Amino acid sequence: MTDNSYQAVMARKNDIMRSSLGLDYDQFNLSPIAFDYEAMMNSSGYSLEEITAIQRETKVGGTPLHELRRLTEAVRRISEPGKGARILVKDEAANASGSFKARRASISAFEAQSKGFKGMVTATSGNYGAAVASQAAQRNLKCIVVQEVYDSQRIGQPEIVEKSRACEAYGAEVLKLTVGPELFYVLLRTLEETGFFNASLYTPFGILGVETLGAEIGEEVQARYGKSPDVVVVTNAGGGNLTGTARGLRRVGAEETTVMAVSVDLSGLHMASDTAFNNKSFTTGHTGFGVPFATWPDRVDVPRNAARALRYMDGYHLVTQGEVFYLTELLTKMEGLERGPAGNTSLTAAVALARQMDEDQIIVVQETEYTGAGKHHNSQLSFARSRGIEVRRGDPADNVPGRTIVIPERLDQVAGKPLDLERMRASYIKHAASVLPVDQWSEVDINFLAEDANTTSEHVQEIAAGLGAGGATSTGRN
Amino acid sequence: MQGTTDDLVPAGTWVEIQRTVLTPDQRAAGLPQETACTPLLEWIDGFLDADAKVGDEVVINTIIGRQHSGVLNRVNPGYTHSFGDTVPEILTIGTEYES
Repeated sequence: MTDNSYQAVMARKNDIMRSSLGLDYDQFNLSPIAFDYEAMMNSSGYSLEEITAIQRETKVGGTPLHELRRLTEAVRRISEPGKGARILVKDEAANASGSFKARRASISAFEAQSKGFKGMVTATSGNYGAAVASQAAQRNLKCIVVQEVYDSQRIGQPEIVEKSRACEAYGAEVLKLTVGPELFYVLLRTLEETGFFNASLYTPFGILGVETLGAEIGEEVQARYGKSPDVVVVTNAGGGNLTGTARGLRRVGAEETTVMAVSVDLSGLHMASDTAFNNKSFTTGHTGFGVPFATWPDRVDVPRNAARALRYMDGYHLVTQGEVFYLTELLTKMEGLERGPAGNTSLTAAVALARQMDEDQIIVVQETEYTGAGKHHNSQLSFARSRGIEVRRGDPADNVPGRTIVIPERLDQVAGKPLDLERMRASYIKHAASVLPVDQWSEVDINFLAEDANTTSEHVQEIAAGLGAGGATSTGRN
Repeated sequence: MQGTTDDLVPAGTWVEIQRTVLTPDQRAAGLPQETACTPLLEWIDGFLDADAKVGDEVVINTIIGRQHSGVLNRVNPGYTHSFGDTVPEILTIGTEYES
């Protein structure tokens, strides 16, 4: 009889992964650290046109790009003369299932169907579950979603409870769990029991599907305004949204576009804590995912993560929960778009960044998400208040994650703060050194790390030397 | 919605089961203490395989036809999440009260 203990199943991880992905990752490995990233990304052989065609079959892509005229005017009124970039938003809520995650699920579903799998499994508490369920339904595949929904008192985050509902609405079996990283163990057991396709967010398919988003933004801005966007802001959690968007922009010649990562600052809240679980008012798009995944991508449910955000980000901006709730309400009242709060994370940073940019520049917010009961800023604030979290208007600098949500009183208080990429790089290099000691790094490793950290091989060696000198280098926020 | 232990729930009824996936001593190492001391619990919805009462060990058939066993927890499980109580602090944002 198969041993299904936690340790036994985790020990079978690699075999389970190999058979559930239909992709042999070993072929891309160059060393314990380095692998051929582009060969892995190109292994599917799909062109951008083919990906677009696959997505159109299942109601994905071609979403509207709106100019936010009133918000842009409001930003210009609080900016220095000549400042205040034009703010555009890609209305990704228009995809089947209501978020950009449909792009990621669509290629996995096509792949699963093509390879003869009977169903798909995914472990996610985010919009991706609904996206996989919706795409699986359209491809006549069965779907199982493994979700972390409740704390040990069976109190559910309203945003996640809504996602359970949505997954069931699209015909998925939902395994609803209490808090803990053993979600992954349940995923492995489910893959083993069913032989279904592992619709991981972090396969090349999961990223290729987002490349169309970057490409659509690049092409549409070029066609409408005669130039590429100056800045694209991307909500960053696991890194796939940023990676795919940046790669898509490059595919259509928007190499000069600045790609900014944005996360909600939840520093201080432990992600595996039963008690902190329901004190978060954002369940994704926050630093609890964004920072650790950027500083070490290979911590996921596949051997090599195709989502490598640090490789593609030109900057990283943090915003507070209160600032995002403020912008969510403002988007509704001024622009007539009622959208989910998590999807407005990058919108919030866009306001702060647009103030520093010239009027003739363009900043693109690359997503929105659907809203509804549970997934609504009023739901989240009401829930937070019921948990004893203080909700008030004031200076957003006074936000304390898990304790106080301060909603700005005015637009000019929406500022957020930059996160130092150098600290992220140092943290990343330190992780690499824990996988393979620095004195064993080859030129191949150093070049890989330089590309992966978006820097030079000389700088990688400088940072690594700092580690050897007693770890004086910052470890980042992880 | 939740039946009493005396009510017999007919086979075929849409129900929710609860089961323990990992007891506290079986959980992953390195968890925060407040998580480590709790079991990893799981809830699944499906059609009841045979007549039973709430609290009984039962088998369900899920919407995709898989079978799971666990303790019958709720009958006709639904969702009650909402838009929440009005949070007055956000009402005036973007209106003439805050122009």
